[in-house]
Amino acid sequence: MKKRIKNKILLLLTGILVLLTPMTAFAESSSNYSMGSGAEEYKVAPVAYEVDKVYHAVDIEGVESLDGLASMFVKGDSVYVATSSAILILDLDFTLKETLAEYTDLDGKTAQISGPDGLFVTDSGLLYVCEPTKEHVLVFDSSLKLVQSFGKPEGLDVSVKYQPSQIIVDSLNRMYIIASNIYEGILEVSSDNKFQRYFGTTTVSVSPIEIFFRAIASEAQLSRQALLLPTEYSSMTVNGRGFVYTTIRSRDVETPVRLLNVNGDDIMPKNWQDNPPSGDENYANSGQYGGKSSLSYIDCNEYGMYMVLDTIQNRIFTYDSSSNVLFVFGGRGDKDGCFRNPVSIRWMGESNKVLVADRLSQSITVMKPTNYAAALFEAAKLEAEGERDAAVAYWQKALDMNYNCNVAKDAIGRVRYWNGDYKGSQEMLGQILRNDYYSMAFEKTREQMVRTYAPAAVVVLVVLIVAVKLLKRVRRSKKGGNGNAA
Amino acid sequence: MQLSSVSLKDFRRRFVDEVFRFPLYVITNPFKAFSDIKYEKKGSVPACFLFMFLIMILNVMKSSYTGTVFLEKDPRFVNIWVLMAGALIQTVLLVVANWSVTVLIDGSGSLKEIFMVAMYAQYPNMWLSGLYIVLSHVLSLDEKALLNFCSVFGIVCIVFYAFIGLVSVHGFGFFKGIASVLLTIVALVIIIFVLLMLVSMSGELVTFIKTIYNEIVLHYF
Repeated sequence: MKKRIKNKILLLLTGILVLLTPMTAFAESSSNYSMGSGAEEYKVAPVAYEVDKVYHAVDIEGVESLDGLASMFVKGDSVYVATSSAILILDLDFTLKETLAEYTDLDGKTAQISGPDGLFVTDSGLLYVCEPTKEHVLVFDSSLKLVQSFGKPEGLDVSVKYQPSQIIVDSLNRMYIIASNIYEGILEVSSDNKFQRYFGTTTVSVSPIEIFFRAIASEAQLSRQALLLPTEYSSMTVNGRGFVYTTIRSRDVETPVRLLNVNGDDIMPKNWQDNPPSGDENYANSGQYGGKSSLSYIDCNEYGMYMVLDTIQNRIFTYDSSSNVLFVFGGRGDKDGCFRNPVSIRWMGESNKVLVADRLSQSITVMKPTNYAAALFEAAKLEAEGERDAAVAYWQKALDMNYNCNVAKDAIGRVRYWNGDYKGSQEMLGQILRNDYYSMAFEKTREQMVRTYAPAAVVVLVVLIVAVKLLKRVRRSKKGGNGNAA
Repeated sequence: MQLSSVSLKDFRRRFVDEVFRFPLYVITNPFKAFSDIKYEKKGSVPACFLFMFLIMILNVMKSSYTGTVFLEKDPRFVNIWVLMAGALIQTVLLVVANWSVTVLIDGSGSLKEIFMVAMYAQYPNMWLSGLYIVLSHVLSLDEKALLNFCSVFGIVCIVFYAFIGLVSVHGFGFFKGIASVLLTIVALVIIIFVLLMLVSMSGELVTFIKTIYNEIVLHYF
C-alpha cells in the first residue's frame, strides 16, 4: 500500500518535471522579424524561406569544385555561376549543362577563365564576364565562343588598376561597370568600349566642422586621417524597364540601396515611416555583429520587389516597391539556411526560389518561400499591378499567419479607406500609427458623427438655455414673493 | 461633525485659492505677483509640489492619451517612469543651476522662491498641455497648426513668466537677468557633465573592485 502511494507520488513528480521543462524542440527557428512602428520594436515573424536543397560540388554531376564562388546570374532556364576557374551553366534543377573554363582568345590562343566575378546575360544570349584580375570584360556568344574582349575603356582617365567586378548591359549594349577602387561612380561604357560618363555619381558631404579641422590640420595629421571618398557601389541589377538597383557597402551612407533612373538619379522611394531601405538600422548596440547592415548584393524581380544581402548578419532583406520590408531570412551560422560568407543572391524567376552562393562553405543554397512569404509575394505583386482589391485576400492571409505583419495592416487599411470603410480603416491603421491615412479616415468618421449628432446637440443646447432662463425667472419670482411676504 | 465640515469647506476655499486664483493672478499681473511671492510670502509650496506632480502626469498623458492621429510612438512601448523622471529632473536641474549661479552674482532669491517661480511659470503650459490632449482627439492632420500653436505658445509662456519671475525674485535688471539666464545654461551643462562623469567613474570603480574581488577569490579560494 505504502509503496503504491510512493510510486504515485513519484509519477506525479515526474509529470510535473516534464511539464516544467521548456520545450526546446523547434523544427526550424525563425530569423524573420518585423520592425514594428518604432525602430526598436522587433517582433518575431513566421519563417519566410526554408531550405530546398544545398548544393556542394559533389551534388552536381560534372563539377569538381565550387571554389571561389562569386556572382551568379539567372536567365530563362539557365543559372550561370562564376567559380574560381570556370563559369558553370546549370539548368534550374542544377544539372550541369555546360562548363566554360577554357576559351580561344581573339589571337587564337587558348586562355583560362580565372577569378571571374560579375556575370550578365543579355536577351540575345551574349554572356558578359568580368575578370577583375585580368582587367577585362569578356563577351561570349550563346555557343560560348569569345566574341569580344574589352580592356580598360577608352577615355577612362584613372591612375588605379582597372578591375571590373560587376556588370549590367542595357538594350543598346551599353555596359554599366562597377570597378573596384573607382569611387566616382558606375562606369557607363559604350558598346565599342568608349568611356561615356560616371553613372549615379555620389557626392561627398563634408560638414563645416570637418572643413575647419582639415584647414587647421598639419600635413602629417592629414596623412593620418581617412580620405574623404565618395561611396563605392557593391552590386547592381537591372529590371525590365531599365532601372538600376544598386547597393553600397559602406555603413555611413543614409541610403545604401539606390534605384537609379536613366540620368543616374536616385529615385528610391522612402516608406511611409520616412525610412529609406537600408537593412537593419541597428540590430544590436555593440559587438562584432552590431550596428547597421552592410549591403553587398542585390537582386530584383519584375514587380518592384528586391532583395538585399547584408554581410554583417548574413541576412537577406526583401522589400516591396514602396520600400517596406516584407520579410527577412538567412543568418550567420553553419546550419542549412544560414551562411558563412554569402557573396551572391539571385531570384529564380516565377517560382520565387532564391539562390544564395556561399564562398566559404563552397555551396549554393536553394531557398524556397513558405506559405507566408508566398502570400506576401502574391499580395505585393497584385498591388504593383494595381489590383489593390484582389491583393487584400493575400494580405489578409499573411495577417492571419502573423498578426504583427505591419505591411499587411497598412495595405488593408488603405484599401478599406478607398472602399469607404472608414471605421475599419482606422482600426487597422491605428495599430501601426500610419497617421496620414488614419487622419483622412478620421476626418470622414468625424464628419459622419457631426452629421448625425449635430441637430440633436443643437436642440439639446437650445432646450438647456431656455430651461436655465426659465428656472432663473421662476426662482427670482419666488424670491420676490418671499420678500413681499416678509 | 460641524468641525469637519468647516475644515472641509476651509480646505476647499484654500485649494481654489492656491491652485486656481493665485496662479491666475500670476498670469495676469506677473511683476506684482512674483514680488508678492518674495515680499508678501504669497503663493504656496504645497501647491507648487502639486503642480510638479501634475506636470509629470501630463508629460505621461501627452505620450499615451494623445489622439491616434497625432501619436508618433506606440503608447504601449512608452516608459512612463522615464517620462516622469525626465520632467522632474529637468525642473530640479534648472532650479539648482539657477540657484547656484544667482548665489554667486548676488541674486536675492532663495531656492524655494526659484522653485515656486519655475512652477508658476509652467502653470499656463499645464492648461495648454491639457488642451493639446483634448484637441488631438477632434482635429485631423490638416489642422495640426492649432496643436502646434498650443505647444509653442506653452513654451513661450514658460520663457516669458520664468524670466519675469527670476528677475523679480532676484531683484535683477533686464540685462543682468539675461546674463543670469545664460550663466544658468552654462551651469546646467557643467552639472550634467559632472553627473555623467560621476556615473561613468563609479561604474569603473565598481568594475575595478569586482576585478580585485574576482582575482582574490580565484587565486586564494
